[in-house]
Amino acid sequence: MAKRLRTSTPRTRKITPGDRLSEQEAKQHSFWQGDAPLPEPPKYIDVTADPGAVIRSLGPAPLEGIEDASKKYFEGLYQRSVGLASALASAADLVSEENAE
Amino acid sequence: MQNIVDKTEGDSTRSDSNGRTTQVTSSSLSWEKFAVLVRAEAEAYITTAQLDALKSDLPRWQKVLLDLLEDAEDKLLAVQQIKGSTRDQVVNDFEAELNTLAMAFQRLTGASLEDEPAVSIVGPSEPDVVTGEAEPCQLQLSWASGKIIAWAAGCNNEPESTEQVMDRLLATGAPKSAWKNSRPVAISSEIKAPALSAEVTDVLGWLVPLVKTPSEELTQRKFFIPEDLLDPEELSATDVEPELSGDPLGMSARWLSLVAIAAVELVAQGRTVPRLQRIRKRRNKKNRGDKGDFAVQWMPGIISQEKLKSFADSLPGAVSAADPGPDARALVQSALGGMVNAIVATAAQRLDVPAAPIEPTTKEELSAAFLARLAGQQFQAAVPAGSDLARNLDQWARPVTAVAKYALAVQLDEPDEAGTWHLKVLSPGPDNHLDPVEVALVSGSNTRRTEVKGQLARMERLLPALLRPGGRRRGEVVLTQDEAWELMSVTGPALESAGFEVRVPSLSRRRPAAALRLTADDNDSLVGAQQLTAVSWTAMFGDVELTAADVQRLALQARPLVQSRGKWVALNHADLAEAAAALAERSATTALTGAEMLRHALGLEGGDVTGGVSLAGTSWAAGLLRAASDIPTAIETRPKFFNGELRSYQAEALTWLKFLDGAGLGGCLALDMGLGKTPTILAQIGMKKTEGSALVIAPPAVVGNWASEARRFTPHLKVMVHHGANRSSGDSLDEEIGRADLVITTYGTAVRDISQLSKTPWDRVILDEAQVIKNHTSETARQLRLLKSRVRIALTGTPIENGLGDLWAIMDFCNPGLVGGRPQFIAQLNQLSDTKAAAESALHALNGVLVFRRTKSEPSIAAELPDRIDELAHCTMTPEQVGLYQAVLDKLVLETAESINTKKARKGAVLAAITALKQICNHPLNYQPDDTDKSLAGRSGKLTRLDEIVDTVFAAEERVLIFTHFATWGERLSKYLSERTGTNVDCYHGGLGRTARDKIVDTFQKGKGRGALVLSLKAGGTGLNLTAASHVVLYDRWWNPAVEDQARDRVWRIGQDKTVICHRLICPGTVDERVEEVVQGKRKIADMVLPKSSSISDLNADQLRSALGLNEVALLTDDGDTSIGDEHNLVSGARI
Repeated sequence: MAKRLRTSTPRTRKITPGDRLSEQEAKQHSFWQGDAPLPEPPKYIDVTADPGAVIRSLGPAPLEGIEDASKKYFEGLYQRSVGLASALASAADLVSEENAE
Repeated sequence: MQNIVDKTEGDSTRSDSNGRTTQVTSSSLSWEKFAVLVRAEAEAYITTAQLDALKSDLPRWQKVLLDLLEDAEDKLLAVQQIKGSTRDQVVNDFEAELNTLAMAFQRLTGASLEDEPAVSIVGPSEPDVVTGEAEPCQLQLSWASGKIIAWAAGCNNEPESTEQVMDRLLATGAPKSAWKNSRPVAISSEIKAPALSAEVTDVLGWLVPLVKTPSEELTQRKFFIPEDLLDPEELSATDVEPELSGDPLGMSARWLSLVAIAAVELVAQGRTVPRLQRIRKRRNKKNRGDKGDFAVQWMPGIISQEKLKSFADSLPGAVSAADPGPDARALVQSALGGMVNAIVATAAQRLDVPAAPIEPTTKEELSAAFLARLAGQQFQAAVPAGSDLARNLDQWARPVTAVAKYALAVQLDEPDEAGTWHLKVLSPGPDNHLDPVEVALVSGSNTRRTEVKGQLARMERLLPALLRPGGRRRGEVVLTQDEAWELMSVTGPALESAGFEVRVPSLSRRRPAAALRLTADDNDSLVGAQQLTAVSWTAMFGDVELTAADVQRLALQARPLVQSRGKWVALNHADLAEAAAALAERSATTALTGAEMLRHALGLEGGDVTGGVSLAGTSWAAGLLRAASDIPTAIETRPKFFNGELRSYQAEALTWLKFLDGAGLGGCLALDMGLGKTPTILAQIGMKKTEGSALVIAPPAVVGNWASEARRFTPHLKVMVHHGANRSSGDSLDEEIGRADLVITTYGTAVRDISQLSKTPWDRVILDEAQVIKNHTSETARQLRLLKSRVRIALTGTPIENGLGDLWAIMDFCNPGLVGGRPQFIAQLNQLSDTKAAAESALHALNGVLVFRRTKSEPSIAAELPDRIDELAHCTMTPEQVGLYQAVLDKLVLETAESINTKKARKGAVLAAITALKQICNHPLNYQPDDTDKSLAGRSGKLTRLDEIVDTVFAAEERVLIFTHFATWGERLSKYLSERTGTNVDCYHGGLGRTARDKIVDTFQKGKGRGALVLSLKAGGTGLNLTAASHVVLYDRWWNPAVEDQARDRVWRIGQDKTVICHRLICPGTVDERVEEVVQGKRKIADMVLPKSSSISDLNADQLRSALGLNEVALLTDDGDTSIGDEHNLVSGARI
């Protein structure tokens, strides 16, 4: 398991009395709410009819000696991945009826 | 321990070949060896030399000690999860180890561990401690190296315990088993929030929909507490009220859920690529020899800059609180990548891949190892070869993993006049202006040129036509129609998935069926159904009209395309062949009558094209169909001259009747039984605008109903009932008809008086229960065709009982000759093997033009109906019944006058006579069970009406209960109905044992489709649940309405999901009607028989005749009327 990196720098800085309260509030807001509004979730997710389009567009993968075999496995994997993503999207009511058909 | 340390390679002294001892610097020690020294120091088993080695590199000592502390913390958390008798001992051991290391840390830094997890913060930092109003605790989620960390806190509020965090997770639907204790999350320098963590793979199904789940739902879930755990005294309203309000999800949880959706979206588009990741050991810890650990990881591809920025800008600091370090943008990529990897790796686990080489050394073996471990399993490989492959893969995937700035667009223009399709590739410039791609390749900046080159290469792989020579410049090419279709339908969506903008003409996804258009123009609007008109034929695909030549031309193309409503439509060769054949077949048909055209449009003249035939032009038939389709949808439920309100479907039917009126056509109003055909027709007759009277011909049982409904709904109409022995004839009949707006008669009377009735020019003739004429060769059907009328309307709930011939007979009566011959009508409409489906299909074909069909099963109709409908059927008395009735009454009068002397005996005789008279109204055999003639059919008006009801119910595949209070008669009825219908009909009565009765009820309830059950009112009137039925017939009446209500309520009760129709049968003008008046509350039982201030025993002969005798005016006698559908079985004549 990858370990997180630590340094010896202190994690927090104590607020001095001279700091303005608005700065503290802004920091708090940034921590709890973020500095900008959240992006809107998409109404629907488009599920591609051609799961392998992206990887095909890259040409053969640099897998020496098994370029052809890799195409077959990638195609199968992309179909399964898209299917799984589609199921996750459906569970979240993110697949339009048109797309579901 | 001392010895072990001394003998380790970590000893800071080393002897050279001459035996001299040299000092080993800490920098020459590996991480493992240095860690041994650190641990030895913590455990106080260290030599001076070793300690000096540590002291020579204090920062490293501190870092390694922190790593060891982390390990110890992790191990402690892990062992806290275990169960069993040894748990406490194991936990104690690990706690001791942690304490030892913590003490060492304190010795080294002078600060307690509690004071410091000394970490530098880059990016969003935790808030400083400030005072302020405490905000409610919310579920917060953080991201840390492929894990979701859950905790709960609010600004200036105490964080919650892990138990409370778990409660919150479960309330939002998270899977319980996925969560484990985790290191607390530092939310400020002083506050640490207890936390739980889960692998992202295990919780993605929960995380994705989280942000879209309404807060109220999460709140409701959260606070669901089983009732048995509630203690009302302890749980006061104030305890829970503050928690009930507000959003249970913190912004950090919402943010991570949105990232999860973005990850799902990328994978759903196939926008992910693999890379080979070298797994680095912890800091200072190197892989052994030249071997390294590698794993396949799935990276998101084609991420737009804007999306990345919007996530980075909105990132709440709480998301990175569990793993401070990366900046916002890096954290977005880490979270997005981790989630994409989780989805694809999960999918890869289900993929059958070839076995992997054990220790890959060559490039080929390494490639095979890569392919075998697409699910992310680690494997060892030679570092140089592995690194090479990792580098090559990164380079290969770069065009999609780099954040896209210049996404190319492909544009297909509409074909020019020569039909040529031009394709060009465009590149957005810095000012978002689209340049031809060649311009971007030549004159763009270096960055743009490099990216565009890579993107164009990708596009060319998906659209090889771009590589074809002959284009004006690179990225421009002419496509064939086939290629254009391919681009619009298949390649275009693939290019979009691959991240390109696709601009192509719209292609309809709908496949239009081949249809024919029949065009005829006649300028004379009076030219009607029988006038020949010149016609032409064309094929239709959607709104595209094609001549025979067009069809042939398109059929020769590989991918025929036509344009319809601004969209390109691909035609199917099979459809073109179908259209070509249909046009060829009709090429010789150049003139048709209006009726023939209408039959073509209704599918009655051969349906060899899938889409049917439509009419165009100004012909009579085309105008008729246009008018039918233009029937107004805004309907009037309170028509003028109608004293009541129609339901919406009745109002629709009324507008349809007006359409027929306007067209001078007849039709069939086929509303299901109980849907109110009578008021609908009365509403139309009430609006009388034309000369002439309306003639309603109905079964005797409903003649009274027609008259009473006309009085109720259209009181302004002059209504004449033409029926009975005393009916008018000759000139007086003509005069009466001339004065009447509405004449009501029976089928029998109409046939008997046809010679006179057929002389009258009727405005409209209406056949109620029109299935009477389903046998077109019957006397009734033939005679009724002699009636002259402007419009003929048929009313029936079951226009098709036995087959499509029934419908033809009705339609041909309504519009003689219009629907063509019977055999062709049946053949054209009988396209389905299932009889019922064929019937409904036929009705559907004619619906809205010649038929108006609505059923109770249609949800919109059912919604408008009341739960139950009560119908009163006035039944005739056959001459036999009348004779018997009169004989019983005469006998009573005679006996009471001559031989019965005591009051008690006289009273008994009168009551016995009432029972006998009621039995006679039921059926002669009910009164005389020992009669030598055991036949039932044709001897009772009530039985005839019952037959009609049962036929209608069975035709609709429904079930009916029939109640009588004479048990022996009930048995006869059940036997009769079984034989007549061919369906077993049981009789439920008190003489049966409990088991037999239960079995009858069970069988009836479980039965599907048509079915009937006869019950004695006394035995079956209470306690049973018979909701399988939707019709109830009260064959005879009982004095107490509550008893009848109880009987009806066997069906109309909880569990009933259909409208219940209750049919009450009475014989007007008899004792039956007087019972009805008692039931209705219009008369008391005593009053029925007794004049005021009298007693039964005091009645004289006249009084008895008045109380119990036949009322000639009200009495409906059987004048040879037919039983519907059973005409030939009718037996007339009195049997006394």
